[in-house]
Amino acid sequence: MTLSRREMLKAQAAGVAALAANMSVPAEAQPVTGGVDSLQIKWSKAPCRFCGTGCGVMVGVKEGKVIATHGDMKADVNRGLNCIKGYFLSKIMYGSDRLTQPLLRKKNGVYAKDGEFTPVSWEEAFDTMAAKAKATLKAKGPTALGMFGSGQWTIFEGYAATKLMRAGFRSNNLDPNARHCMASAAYAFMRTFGMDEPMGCYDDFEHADAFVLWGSNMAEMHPILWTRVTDRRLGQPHVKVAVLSTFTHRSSDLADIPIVFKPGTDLAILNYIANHIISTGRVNKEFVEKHTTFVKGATEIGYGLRPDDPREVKARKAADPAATTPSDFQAYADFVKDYTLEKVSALTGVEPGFLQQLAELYADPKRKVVSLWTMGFNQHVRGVWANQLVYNLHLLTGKISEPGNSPFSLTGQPSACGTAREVGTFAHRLPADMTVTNPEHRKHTEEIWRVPPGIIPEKPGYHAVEQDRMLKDGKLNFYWIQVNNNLQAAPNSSGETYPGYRNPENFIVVSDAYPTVTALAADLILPAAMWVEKEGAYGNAERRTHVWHQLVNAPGQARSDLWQLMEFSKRFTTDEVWPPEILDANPNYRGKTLFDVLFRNGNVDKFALSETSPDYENQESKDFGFYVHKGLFEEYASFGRGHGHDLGPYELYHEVRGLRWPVVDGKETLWRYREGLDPYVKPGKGFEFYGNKDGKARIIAVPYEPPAESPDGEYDLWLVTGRVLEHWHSGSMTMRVPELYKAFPGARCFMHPEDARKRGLNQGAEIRLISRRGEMRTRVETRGRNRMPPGVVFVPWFDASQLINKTTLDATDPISKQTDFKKCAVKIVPVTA
Amino acid sequence: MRARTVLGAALAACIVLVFGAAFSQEGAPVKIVPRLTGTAQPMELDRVPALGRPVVDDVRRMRNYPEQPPVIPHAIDGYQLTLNTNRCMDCHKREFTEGSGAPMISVTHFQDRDGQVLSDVTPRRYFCTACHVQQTDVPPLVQNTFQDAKDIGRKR
Amino acid sequence: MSDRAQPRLVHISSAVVSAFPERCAEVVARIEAIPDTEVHRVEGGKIVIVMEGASTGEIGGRLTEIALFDGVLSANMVFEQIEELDDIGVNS
Repeated sequence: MTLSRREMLKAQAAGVAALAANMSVPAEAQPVTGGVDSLQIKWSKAPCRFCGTGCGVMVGVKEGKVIATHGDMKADVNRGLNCIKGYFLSKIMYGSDRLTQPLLRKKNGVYAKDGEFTPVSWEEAFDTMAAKAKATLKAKGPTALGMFGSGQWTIFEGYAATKLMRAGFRSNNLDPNARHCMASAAYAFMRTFGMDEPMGCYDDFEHADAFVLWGSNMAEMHPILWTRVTDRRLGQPHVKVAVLSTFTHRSSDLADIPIVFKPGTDLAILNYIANHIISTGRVNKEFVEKHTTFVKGATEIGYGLRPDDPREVKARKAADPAATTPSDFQAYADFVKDYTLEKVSALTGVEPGFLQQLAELYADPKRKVVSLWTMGFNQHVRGVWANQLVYNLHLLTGKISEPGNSPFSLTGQPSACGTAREVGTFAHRLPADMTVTNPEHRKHTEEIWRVPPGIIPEKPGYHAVEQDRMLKDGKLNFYWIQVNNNLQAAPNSSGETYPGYRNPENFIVVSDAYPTVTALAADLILPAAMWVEKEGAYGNAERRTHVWHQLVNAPGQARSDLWQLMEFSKRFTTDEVWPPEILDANPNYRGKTLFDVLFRNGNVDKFALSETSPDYENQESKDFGFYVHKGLFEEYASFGRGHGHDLGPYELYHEVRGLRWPVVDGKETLWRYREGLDPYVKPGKGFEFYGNKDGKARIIAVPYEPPAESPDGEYDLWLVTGRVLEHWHSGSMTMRVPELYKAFPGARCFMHPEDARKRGLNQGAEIRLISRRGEMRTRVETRGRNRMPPGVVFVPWFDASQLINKTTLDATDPISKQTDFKKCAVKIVPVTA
Repeated sequence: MRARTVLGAALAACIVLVFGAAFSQEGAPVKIVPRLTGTAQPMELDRVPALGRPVVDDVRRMRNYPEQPPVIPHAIDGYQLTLNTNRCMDCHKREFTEGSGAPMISVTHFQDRDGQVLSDVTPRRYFCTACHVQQTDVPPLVQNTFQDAKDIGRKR
Repeated sequence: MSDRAQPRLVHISSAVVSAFPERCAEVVARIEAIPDTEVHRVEGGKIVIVMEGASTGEIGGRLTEIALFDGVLSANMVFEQIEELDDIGVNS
């Protein structure tokens, strides 16, 4: 028998090679020898690994391998549908270059910044890493230690990370890649409603009479939600769709009102619509009087560039961009009066007729409107303003918090809401919308975590773009990156990101499943388990928390990010990382490891290993000896229960296709802030925006202000970056699925044929795309799915060999600190070599 | 059984390079495949290969599993897929398949959101290209070791 | 894990060798003469071989040697599996 196993292995090896060489394999005419058993597949539910839509999928497993996936009929989000990426989930874990062992840069057998990646044991990897972290803490203190996480972390992973960073290492230098993605949306929710995340849900789509897309190409980026919009539009002829963008794309194909505006001028369109609503007498006065207050925002707030940049020096309110002053309806009406149809049409380049039709969708009291937006609004130097200005329209008309009337901020990542926002992995946040700057919030958190008072630092840490700057400047020296590919994603990467990674003072650790650009620029690579190789939980854009089981084992020595965080915490004792005065006051914490105080604290280790499902593997729980996920979830859930963020009991989530919080008495909440639909609204109130103490939402007066950089004589084109349907983010998963790769095998520069002709470029020509920061090479695409207006080009960022972010500008919204990836100036020249 | 599978390193670009260099990547734990890992010097400029040509041979490709949407084996350049026109339907709609010889849109596409079977394609399935994509004639960047269910679980 | 200090390992690797079609037969014959190396399939100048050895280095060396044969265009490793000897029954 054993000898035949050897033969089998050899045959298998030969088979793989034949396949690789594209050689034919003899037809297999053998009948099924194992009987019907060999045809059986074990199906389990999971959320999709990709975008913020949060589709449910059924995952088929046979002998430890995922062999098929399909849309889950029982999942309300997608009812059996998936997009092309979702249908190929089966193959994302099986790229043959999966990382299966830790790799450390070494020279002559020891770690060296300029060494070659060398396989090492987890023991050696963590030893080296801990020594580096301890040396950094000793030399410079906690502010020199940082972590960059992800909206693709599971809830457990983000929660363990925030505990380890804030309470363990006492550093708030924790930020997620979601900073690049929806920080502007999160800040706008807090500034308008005092509470994060949408009031409505996807069920709004089946009730709306109009959809307005503000800087969102849902047809490609949220394809399944787009099927619901399409279903409504084509099924109900009275429904209208307006699509606003800086170029024409696939979503425009469904538009009744297609609008292409000049980059950045959406702010003026929003104020024009408010003016139109007021001047035509269609303000919902009762709603406005009862449920809103008015404020005026600070202006000339800068662009989040380095403080010595002339644009920052010049900006009057760069130091306090978030300031507001109280105002009233009349002052607001006077303020928007300036945004007339003629003026706004001239500024934006949009025909007056389209602007009027658009304004009427909002103004018409009989029409229910869903506004939808993603990166066009959020990746905007005035992203928080843009978000707030659209809330203004819904608040002026009272079109909010009821089926079909919904300002809806879509998210990019599967758990941008669940992990980055709800768990609070931003540099200033704690769970359940609390912040590190508030002493009450810190105290409450320390109590739940059972750590001594005073442990959590009060100063917000470095946000994403600032982390890169601080790495480069040598102020951040130990840096751990999980579940993201920031060297490909971050703006101005050759100028501000890469130098920090290779700064000899710094030690960079990257946890990933595949060798990415970021991993290869690190000093230590840790192999990660991904998706259904671990038990997980994601929170989607409609407040839906969705849990899944571990369905297969990770290859080789790859381990989940959760395991890595918890295992690493064993290498530190409180005496090494906590200040003596806190330990003197709390001597019972002395001599314990961070693992003991953070994860064996009586909460996280409360549930026995025997409570895990007998039908599924659970690597972390087996390794640590208790049901890790349930313990972390229940401790985390205690932050939100009774405070409007209620989550149900953990077991329930293994049964259902996710639940939308607040989950009160086992029931989810579809629309918040409205009496009868939201259990938190007190009887008789009608509406109550209870995130704010006065129960009212804020309408803000802010103007149009120009982008940080606009085209000029030399750099004469606007550059917009983004995604394509077939690839997820930086492409590290989808580029390894042959069918997805072949569907869109490389980045390219979409441009107007006339712009190409003027530069002597043919379709497909190789070009250099150059900005003031850097340059990249790509090829010209004058056809295809994106149709550019003259003067604007689009380049997707999924291609690791065409790093468009070498050219982008590291300007951010000064309030949210989110990068503007949609507006900078470039020039294009032919490759002559 | 204790076994380790090192699907490695070497595998990556070796697959389709007939005229490639003859090395087994001894000692290099990560193979540089610029499209996936970036260039060896991450901030360096790389020559960009020509845009791939679309596969137009009209040969149906086997699906990896029955639930996978079939890929499109023909050109779709210039196809209108808009509010008013759907070029794909001109051939794949049930009524037109006899003339066009194209495969009929699967009956799964006739179900609405609530599972009711309609007499024609449901509006939510209107935009075909969300699930069905064209292919170009480029070789994969690395091998994908996904295994077909038919090759798993056979008793020997 | 095992309490044996050093389990003996066997590496099983497969590779694709590309040869000029007209010299393919000659190349196959030379490969077949190498110990612990088998030719599994030949098709239009492409040769699938399976090699066994005690280390990756040993197998890599052998493959490099093949790559330098006259008539060979390239020789690329595709797959490698490492097994403990006892597991696959060399001692049985």
